[in-house]
Order: sequence, then structure tokens, then C-alpha cells
Amino acid sequence: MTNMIRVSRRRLLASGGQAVAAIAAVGLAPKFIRPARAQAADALAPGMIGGPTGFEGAERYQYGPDTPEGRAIEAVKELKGAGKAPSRIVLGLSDGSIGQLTQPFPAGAPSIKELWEKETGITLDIVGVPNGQEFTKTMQDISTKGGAYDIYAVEWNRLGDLAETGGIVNLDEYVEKHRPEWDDPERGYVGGQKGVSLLNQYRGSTYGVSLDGDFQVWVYRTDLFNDDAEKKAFADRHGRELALPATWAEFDEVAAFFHRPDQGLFGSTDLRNQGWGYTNWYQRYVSMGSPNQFLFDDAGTALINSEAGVKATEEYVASLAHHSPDAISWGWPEQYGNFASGGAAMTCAFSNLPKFLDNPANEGSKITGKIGSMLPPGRAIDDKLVRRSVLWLNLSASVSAQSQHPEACYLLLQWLGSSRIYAWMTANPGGYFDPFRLSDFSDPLVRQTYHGYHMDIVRETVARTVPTINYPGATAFHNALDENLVAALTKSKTPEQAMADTDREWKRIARRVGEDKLLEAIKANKEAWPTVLDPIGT
Amino acid sequence: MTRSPAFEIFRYAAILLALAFALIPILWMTSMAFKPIPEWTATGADLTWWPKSPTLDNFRFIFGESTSALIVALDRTAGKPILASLLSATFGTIIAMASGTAAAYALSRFGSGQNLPLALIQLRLFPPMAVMIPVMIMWSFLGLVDTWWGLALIYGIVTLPFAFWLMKTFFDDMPREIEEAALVEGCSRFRVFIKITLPMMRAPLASSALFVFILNWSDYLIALLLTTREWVTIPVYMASLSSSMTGQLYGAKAALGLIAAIPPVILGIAIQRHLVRGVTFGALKQ
Repeated sequence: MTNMIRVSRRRLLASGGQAVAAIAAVGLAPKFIRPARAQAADALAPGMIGGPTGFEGAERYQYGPDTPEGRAIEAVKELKGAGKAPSRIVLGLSDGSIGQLTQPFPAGAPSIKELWEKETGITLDIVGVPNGQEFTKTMQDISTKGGAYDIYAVEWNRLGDLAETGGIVNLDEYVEKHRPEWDDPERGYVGGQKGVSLLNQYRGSTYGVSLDGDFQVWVYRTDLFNDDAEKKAFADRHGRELALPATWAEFDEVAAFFHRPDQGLFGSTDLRNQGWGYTNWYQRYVSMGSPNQFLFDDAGTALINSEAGVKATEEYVASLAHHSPDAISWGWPEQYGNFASGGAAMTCAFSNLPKFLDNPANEGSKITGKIGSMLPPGRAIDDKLVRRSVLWLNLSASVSAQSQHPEACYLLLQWLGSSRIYAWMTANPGGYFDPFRLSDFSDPLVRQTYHGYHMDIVRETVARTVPTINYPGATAFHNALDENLVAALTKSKTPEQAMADTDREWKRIARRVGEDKLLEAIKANKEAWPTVLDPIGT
Repeated sequence: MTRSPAFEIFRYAAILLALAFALIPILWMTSMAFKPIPEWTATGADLTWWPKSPTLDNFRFIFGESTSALIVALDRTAGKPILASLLSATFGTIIAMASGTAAAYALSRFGSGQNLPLALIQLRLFPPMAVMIPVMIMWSFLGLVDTWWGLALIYGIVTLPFAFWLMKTFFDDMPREIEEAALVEGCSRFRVFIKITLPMMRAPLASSALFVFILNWSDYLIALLLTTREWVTIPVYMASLSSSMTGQLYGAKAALGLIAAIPPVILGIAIQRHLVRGVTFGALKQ
């Protein structure tokens, strides 16, 4: 007979009970017996009513009752109390941006979605939209009265077109009621009220909340530019030192120098494809005048069918010589993939490129630690250097007119787009939302993810950035320009023809849109154009 | 008749060229599916036909098992899109074939509805986008957006003309004497169709169904417009496979492409016996 069999039933039950109690104690202990440090990390700082916890520095992203975030959460709670809040809000969002809302960051923190749901009790249902299809999907939902989303997130300059359809809600009433403080001089938008007007408003009314900072920023390979052999070879060939290009002429020269396709290296891979490439045409065109070469004059006459337009287009086409042979079909995925594999000396991309590619966690990137940032090239005019970049894509969220709870949706956007939550969100490497608020550029977590060297250049680039067209008919204006530029790139039109045809189509679009509306929008758009000029030689 | 050696060499060279033209993309996709990230794209001389370090990471990745090499996380795996494609393409094919065959038989045998062929083909005369806009509105009204049955229904409708025209050609070429003999013996028209005509049309039915299935299976535009999240199909899902970390996820796309090639291939093999007969049916007049 074994010992086990000799154990009495009473003893067996007693031992079992002790074991169950011990296991339960171990399992439940963390709920009640927390180390002091863990409790501190999980608690809100004094005076705060909400925000993330669980990581060092979390208090920077917490908020009190009299902040835009605090007011938004309190207002949602009031709506809930009055039975006027939904049980869930459906947010349509580009696939690549979802991670920033759903992945906890940094370690120990909740995700944005978890925090919103915890603080409000409203489920945030995020529906992925294929990248590049945001506007199509939104228009589809509006035109078919599908009602698939409560909130749309589309390119910022489509606000006018969306507002004209009546598919999105005028948010003026909620802005006045809940005071988002977007123009706060320390934490608000770059340019204060002008920035707010540019990114969130159409014809003086708020229709969107900016959730992005797609200022196109130039980056280069430090390993190539600092290489002694490269420096010597460049000096031997061009009779000057290899340096970051300050002008477009220098840029083309440096790009041509590094262009070695047989070694898998292209001079520059700033995009040339349909839908994106024209942003790089913009940079060359708008720097043709001081302080800017505008697209339209104050009377609404297009200025592109001009010497400046033709020259910018000629340069744009000629620059294909130091691009990938597939440049006309390359989008950002190809651009990022190529740059990660060390395939280009320079490129112009979203400000998040170093976040993803100068990243030790990205094992596929061959250029970690080898990226530098630079200001956009420009042109010397009247003893000053006109350097200009462009704001392009930049997701902006709007409330669907089909939503049953527009105020709750707006409050989510006020909370999400506020300085504390936005800085915490944009620092998360899990998606595409980029810094754009003044507070983002100095935020430690954002600077850690985006790199200090890059954030300083981004801030300076923002000051030199022109907005793309955001007038009513923006989509049509851009499509006309885009199609003609692609025709020039494929040599089916000369630069002169491309500009003349764009001009003709723009006139037609302007007539269709209505000149009064257009002049008002052009004026508002021009107010946001930069005036910064740099000294020659910088 | 004996052919000259030069002709034979030319013939085989032409066959090899045609084979290469058809098979190289498939070979490339297969190879890419097993390549790790560093081998997806090549700067210069790194491009290889075969994976240097073969891996199943791409397959693991699309089914949600993130690996250290593929650090981007998918918010949905390939499982549901594969199911969506299978359901919508299969039921779409059934709808198209059932309706198309019935309509083709009626027109071939009775000549009724003489305007039907033109009416059916009208759907294919307009650019797909022009047709899809009203369809989107209707589907939204009917609550069929982002459902597999909604997709199956529209697939059945848009491929109906193909099914109809193919089957009509086959019915026209089939000798009517056999059916007439059965009718004389007292068989009803319906029984003739079920017991005699359809069994004889097995081969044309199989080849037409395969053709229609492939059309449905490979659709991108309709699925892009009529789905949002729950029931996106393989081509729509594939388009979302890109990330800022790695650019286009070529390996993952190739792995999914390889999986997507399996159903049509299996179907093709399963009906191979009928296929050759189907495509040559009616080639010789009796």
C-alpha cells in the first residue's frame, strides 16, 4: 500500500483547501498588494482627472478639468448621463494609422483606444481603410448614404469638397461650447489661428480636426555625405566641397553625383508617381518667387502657365535622370523600402521616415544610425534663399452628417487632437500620425521616437511649408495638375503643353466652382503661406 | 509527314518561350513567398531567383503570427479575406451559372426573349465604375454592403453575361435530335433538360464555371467598393499589405498570392477531364 493511499480523507480535504487558498492568494495578491512604485505609476498626478498612467513621464499627458482634454471627457460623461451618448463610435481610419490608437505605448501604458473607452465607457470601433482610399471610401459613404462611419479621416485639403457635399458636420457650435484651444501659443498649432484656419476650417467654419503633420521633409544618408572618399571624388569632379544642397541646382548636381544604379544607389527618390509626385513639383515651383511663387494671383488667375511653371516642370522632368527607372510608378512604400535598404542618397518624405527607418527595432533597415535631415533646397532670389516645402496628405478627421451623435464624435476628436493626447499618440511608432503641434516638437517622447536631429529640422521645415490647394474643387484642381505632370514625365506632353493644358483645365474648374467662393478660399489659403527667407550660404 | 529538324527546333523554342512567359511570374511569386525580408528587394546585384535563406515567415505573418523580422503588426489576418473570397466567388459562380444556363437553354431551344442577349451584354458595355456607382447606392439601401452574400449576388450578376453567352454557344451546338427523341418517348421538357441535356453538357458547364469562378475570384474593383472591413476579399486585403518599416510587404503579398492560386488550380485539376472536352465542344459540326 502506498503512502498516498494512507492519507485520510479529512487530511486530503484540508491540504486541498490550503493549496486552493495559497493559489488564490498568489493570483489575487497583485490586485491588493502592489509595490509602492507600481501604485505611483498607475495613479494620476495630483489635480489631474484623466490621462494615461503606467509609465515614466505619464503625467505629461494627463489633464485637469479645465483643459481641452478634460472638458471633452467631462462633456461626454454629461452626454451619457443625459442619455445622449452612443454606446460606440465608428472611426474610419487609414490602415497604417490604426496602430497608434490600438497599440499600447510606451511599455506599461494603455492604448489610446483603451484609455478613451475606460474614461468614457464608449466603445471606439476603428474601421481600417486602405491607404490612399480614404477620400474614395468617404465619398462612397456620403453618396450612398451608407452610414458606415461616424467619423471620416481624409486628406486635410479635401475639407472644402466634403463640406460642399453636405456630408460632414459644421463643428462651430461644438468648438465654441467646448473650447479646444487649438490656437494656444505654447501648445497649439503652428501659426496660431492661421494654422487652425488652414487645417480645420473651410470658409471660416470648422469642419475638421487635424490629426496629422505631413510636412514633407528632406533626409539624406550621413554615411555617404561624411565619407572621405566621396568628398574627395565630389571635389575632384565639381571643384567644390560636398555639402547638403542649398539650391535646386546644387541638389541636382549632388543627386547626379550619387546616382549609381549599377551599385543599387539612386541619387534621390522624392516621388514622381501619380497622386504624390506633384508635391515635389510644388517645391520647385513655389520657390521660383520671393517670398513665394503663388499658384493664383489675387484676382483668381492661375499663374502656372508662365516661365516659372514651365521651368519648374522642365526641372521636374529632367530630375528623372537621377531617380529609379520605375520612379513614375513608385509610391511611398517603394520609396521607404528602397531607402531602408540603402538604395538612395537623398529623399523627401513624410516626417516619420526616421521614426521607422532609423530604428534599431527595424531589423530590415540597413540605414539605422545613418540618416540625417536637411532643409528643403531653394533658390537664390534678391540675395535671399527661398526654401519651400509642402504640406501634403495630412489626415484630418470630420464628423459624418449621418452620425446620430455628432457632439460625442466631436468630443472624441477634441480629446484625440488635443496637445497632451496627441503628443502621446504621435510618439507611438505604431502608425503614421506625425507631429504638428508646437508642443509636439519639444515633447521628450516624440523627440525620442522621431529623433532630436530630425525634430529640429521638421520644426524649421514647417516654417517654410506652403499648403497645397484646399479651395472648393481641390480634388479637381490637383487631378488636372497631376495628370498633366505625369504626361510631361512620360514625354507625351512638353512642359509648355502640360502647363498650358493645366491652366485651361483650372479655368474650367474655377468657372464651375464659382469665382466668389474661389477668391475667398484663395485669400484664406495665401495667408498661411510662409514668408521666411534664409541668408545665402546657409 | 515528317517535319524538318529546323522546324522542330523552332517549334520547341516557341513552346519554351510561351511557357517561360506564362510561368516566370508564378515562379517569381513562389520564390518570393519563401524569401526573408532582406531578399525581397535588391539594390543592384543581390537579386536572386531562389531564396538564399528560405523561410515560412511570410505565411506565418499573414496568419497573424508576428515574427521578429516582420515587426509590423497586422490589424487583421488573411483568414477572413480567404473565407470571403471563397464564399463570394463560389456562390457568385453558382448564381451566374444557374441563371445563365437556364436563360441560354431557353433562348437556344425556344427562341424566346430575342432581346435578352443584348440586354445581358449591356452590363459589360459600360465602364465598370459607371455601373458600380448605382450598384453601390442600391446595395447600401438593401444593407448588402460589406456582406459576402452581397458580393456573391453582384458577382453572379456581372458574370451572368459570360455564363449565358458561353452556355448558349454550347446549347446551339448540341444536337437537338436526342432531346426530340426523349420528348417523343413521353419525357417532359423539364425532365429532358435535367436528365438528358445537363448531363451531356457537363463538360461545357465545367469549363464555363471555371472561367466564371476565376473572374469572380480575381475581382478587385467591386470588392473594394462594396466592402469596408468584415468581408474584404483577398485582392483588397493584399493591397493593404504595406508598412512604413519595410515598404511594400512583397513576401507577404507573394505568400498570399500563392495561397490565392490554390482554389482555381484545384478546381482546374478536379474538372480537368471535362475541361478539354468543354473547350472543344461543338468544334466539329456533325
